[in-house]
Amino acid sequence: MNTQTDARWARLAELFDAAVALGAAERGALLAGIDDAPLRSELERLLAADAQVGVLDRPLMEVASAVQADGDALVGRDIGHWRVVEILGRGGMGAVYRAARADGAYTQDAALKLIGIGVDSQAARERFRRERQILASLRHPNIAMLLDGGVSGDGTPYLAMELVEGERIDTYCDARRLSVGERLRLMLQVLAAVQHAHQRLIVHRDLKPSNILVTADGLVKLLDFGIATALDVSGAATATRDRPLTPDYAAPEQLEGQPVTTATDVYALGLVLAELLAGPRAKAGARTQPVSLAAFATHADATSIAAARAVQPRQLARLLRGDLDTVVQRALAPEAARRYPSAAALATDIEQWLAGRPILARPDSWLYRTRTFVRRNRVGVALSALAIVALLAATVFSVQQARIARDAARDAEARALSLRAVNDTFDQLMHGEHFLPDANGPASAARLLRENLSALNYFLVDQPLTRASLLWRNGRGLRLAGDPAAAVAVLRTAADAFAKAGASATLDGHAAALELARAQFDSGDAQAAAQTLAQLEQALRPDEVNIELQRHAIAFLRAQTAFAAGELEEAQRQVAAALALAPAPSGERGARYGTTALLAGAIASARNDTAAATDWFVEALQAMTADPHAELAPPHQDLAAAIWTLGQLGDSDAAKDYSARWLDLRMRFFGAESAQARAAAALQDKLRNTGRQAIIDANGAARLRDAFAAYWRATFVNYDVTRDQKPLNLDRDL
Amino acid sequence: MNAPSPSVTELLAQARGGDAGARDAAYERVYAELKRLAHRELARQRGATLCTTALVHEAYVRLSGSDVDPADRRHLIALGARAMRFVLVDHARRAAAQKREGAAQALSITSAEDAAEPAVAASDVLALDQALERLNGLDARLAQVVEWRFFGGLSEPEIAAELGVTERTVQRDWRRARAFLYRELAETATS
Repeated sequence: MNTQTDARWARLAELFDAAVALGAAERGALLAGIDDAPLRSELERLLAADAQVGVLDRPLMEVASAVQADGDALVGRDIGHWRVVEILGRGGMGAVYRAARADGAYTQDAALKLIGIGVDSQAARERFRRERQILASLRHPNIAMLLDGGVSGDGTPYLAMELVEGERIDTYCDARRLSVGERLRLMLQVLAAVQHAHQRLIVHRDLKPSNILVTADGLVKLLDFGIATALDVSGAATATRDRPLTPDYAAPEQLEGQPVTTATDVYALGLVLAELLAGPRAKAGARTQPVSLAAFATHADATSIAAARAVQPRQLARLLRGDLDTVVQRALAPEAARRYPSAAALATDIEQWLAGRPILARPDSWLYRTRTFVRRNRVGVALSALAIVALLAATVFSVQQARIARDAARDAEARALSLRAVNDTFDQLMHGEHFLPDANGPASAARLLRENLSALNYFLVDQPLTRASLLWRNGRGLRLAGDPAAAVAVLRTAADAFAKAGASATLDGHAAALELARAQFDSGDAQAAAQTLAQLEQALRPDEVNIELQRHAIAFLRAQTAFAAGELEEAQRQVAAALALAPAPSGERGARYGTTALLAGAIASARNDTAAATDWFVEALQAMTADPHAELAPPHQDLAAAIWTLGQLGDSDAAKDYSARWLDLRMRFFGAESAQARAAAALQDKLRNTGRQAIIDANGAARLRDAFAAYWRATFVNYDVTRDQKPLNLDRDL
Repeated sequence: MNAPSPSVTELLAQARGGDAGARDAAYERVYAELKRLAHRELARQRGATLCTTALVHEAYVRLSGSDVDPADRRHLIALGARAMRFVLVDHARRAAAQKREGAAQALSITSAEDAAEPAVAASDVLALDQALERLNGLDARLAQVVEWRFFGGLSEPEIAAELGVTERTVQRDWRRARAFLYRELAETATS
C-alpha cells in the first residue's frame, strides 16, 4: 500500500469513527462539512455498509452449514428412504446428492437425483412411477443400478442410483496411457451394457464420456440409463421428447427432432469410440464435419494423443486407418438404417478387429450409393429392388469376366466383395427401410421378395450355393412377411439345392430344412412340418458341428408346433427332450436354456400345472438374467410379464397396468413411424394381441389362466429359437 | 533411522524459551491437524457443532496427549482461526466449482440454456475472503481482528490481550473492518 492510500484510509477511518458516534442529524452536518467530494462519498458508503447485517454477524457454524448445504435446503432432509448428505453436483434441470439410507434398514449410499420438473398431475406421477419400474429391471454389472425412486413431498421426482466412484472413461484411458486394444476392450464393456438395456427396449439417449465411468478396478459403469426417457414421461413430455440433451453427442435424427431409437445410442457410441481412439474432436464445426479416424494424423495434438495411447503418432495413424475407421463410420452413418443395427453388432466388429479377423462392416460401396440414388429418385420400391438385383447380377458377371484378366488372389477378393454385397442387400431388404410394416403392410414386403425371387431365376444359375443361400433368406423373409405358402416353395428349392451340394453345405441345408418346417407349420400343414423335421433328424450325423444345438432346435420346434396345435401332452414330451438337449444354464448359452424353460413353463401352465409352471418360469428367469449378452430381446419382457402374472394371479388391476405399460413400450420402440421397425416384431405383436388383450381384460384367476395360455401360445407360434445363430456364411462357401 | 520427532508439548516449551524454529514446527503441526479436523467437522456435521475452541482443544489433545497450556491457548486459537478460514474457504470454493461444472455423477440434463444457479452461501464466503485480503493490505490489524473474531470465535478481551491493545480499540477496529467488508461485498456483488 502506498502512503497516500494509507493516509486516505486513516482519514476515512477517523471520520467513520466520529460519524458512527453521532446521531442522524449531526451525522448529516458532519458529512456536509466535508469538502473532498470523493472522500465524502466514500464515507457515505461506509456508513451505509455499517448499517447492514450480513455474513459477519452470523455465527460461524451457521455460515459453515450454509456453505456445506451450498444454498440448498435439502441437505440433511429425508426424501423417501434417503437422507440427503451433501450435494455432488447440479444441472439445469436438477441436482444430484450423496444420500444414505434414512430408515437404518441397512447401510447404503446412493446418488440421489432430484429432477427439477413438476410432476403435479396424478397421471404424470403414475407415468413416472411406471417408468422407474421399467428402469429397475436394468440389472447389469456395467450399469449403475436404480435403487429407488419416487416423488418427494413437494412433488419433485427423485431417483436413487447406485453411487459410482469412478473416472470418466476418456480421462481414465488417458491417465493410464491405455493402448488402442485396451480402450477397445473397455468399449466392449460399454457395449454389453447398452445392449442389455436395448434388449429391454430402454434407450439411453444421452451417452457421452461423462456418463461412462470406470472404477479403480477397471469396471465400466454407465450412468443415467433411461433417465432421459423417465424425464419424458414425468413432465414436459412433448417439450423435451427427443430433444438432444447434450448436442455434442446427439445423432442427426435427435437434432432434427425425429423419433429416437436404439440406433441413436449407436451413433453416440460411435462418437465416444472415435474420441477414445483418436482423441477429442475439434469442437468448432464438430457437427458439420464428418468424424474420421484417418484425420487423426492432422490433429494439432497428434503427438500427445499418441503418447496417451503409448504409441508413436505414425503407429497410431496406421492402427486407425482402415478397419477401425470403417467401424466408426458405420456407427456414425447419418441415416439410422445404415448404422450398426445394435450395440452388439458394433461389439462384434470390435471383437473381430481385436482377434485380427476381418470386420463385417464395409465402407460405403457403389451398391449403397446406387441404392440411395434409386431411393432419392423415387422409383417404385419393388422396381428399385429389382434394379438392385439386376445391378448386382451385372457385377457378378463383370467379376466373372475380370477373372480372365486378373490373378487368382485378386479375383477371390472381388468375388467375396460382390457376394457380401448381395448378402448385405438382402439383409437390408429384410430389415431395412424397405421392410416397413407401413401403409403397404407386410404384403408389399412379400411382393418385394417375390420380385427378387423371379430375378433369382435368371441370375446366379452357375453359383448354386450362393443362389440357395439367397433363396433361403428370401423364403425366411416371405414367412416372416406373412406369406408362408410362398415361403414353403422357396425354402424347398433352397433345401434341395443345399442337399445336392452335399457335405460342404450340410449346416446350411439343415438350417433351410428347419426353416422349411416352420413355414410348413405356419401355412397350416403340420403334417408336412413333422415330416420335414423327421427327415432332418434322420440326416443329422452324430459327429456334426453343433449337433446338440440342432437336435435341440428340432425338439423345440416340435414342442412349439404341438403347443400351438393344443396337443399339450406331446408338447410336454418334446419340451422335455429340448430341455435335456439345452446346454447348461451358464454364460452365453443361458439364453437358449432360458427360452426352453420359458416354453416349458408356458406348456405347464396350459396344462393347469401351476406349480410346475412357476418353477419353470423362475428357472427361465434365472438362466436368462444370468446371461448378460443374451440375444433374445422380447422374451425378457415376456418373462417379466409371466413371472409377474403368476405371482399376482389374484390382482388383475396390477396385471392390467403392467401389460398396458409393456404394450406402450413396445409401441414406442417398434412404432410404425420408426425406420427401425421390424416387420417380424410387428407380426409377432399382431399374433400376440389376442392373448395380451385377454390378459388385460381378465378379471378372475380362471380367465386369467386361459388368457395366459393364449398369450404364450401366440408368443411361441412364431418364436424362433435359432435366430441368434448365423447359419449362412457366404464367405465360407467360396 | 529418524530420531523420534519432539512432541508438540516439547516444541511449545522450547518456543516459550525463545526458540522460534520450535514454535514454527509446533504450529505447523497443530495447523495441519486443525485443518484436518475442520474438514472432518464440516464434511460430517455440516458445521452444526463447529467451534474453533473445541477444535483447537481436540487437535492439541491428539498431538500432545495433554490439555492445552494456558500460555499457548490464545496463540493456538489464533492458529485455529486461520485453519478455520482456510478450510471454510476451501469448501466454499469446491461448492461453487461443483455448482458450475457438476460432479461426475451430476445429472446429465444441463443444456446450454440452463445456466447454473448462483452459489449464494459459497460465493459469500469466497467474496468475504477476498475482501479480507484487500483489508489486510490496507490495515493488517483490522483483518487480524476479523479473522480471530469471526473465524476463531475469540472474544474482544482475548483479542485485545493478544494484540496488546485496549478492548475499546478492538471494538472500534471491528466496526471499521465490518463496514469496510460490507461495502466491498456490496460493490463486488453489483459490479
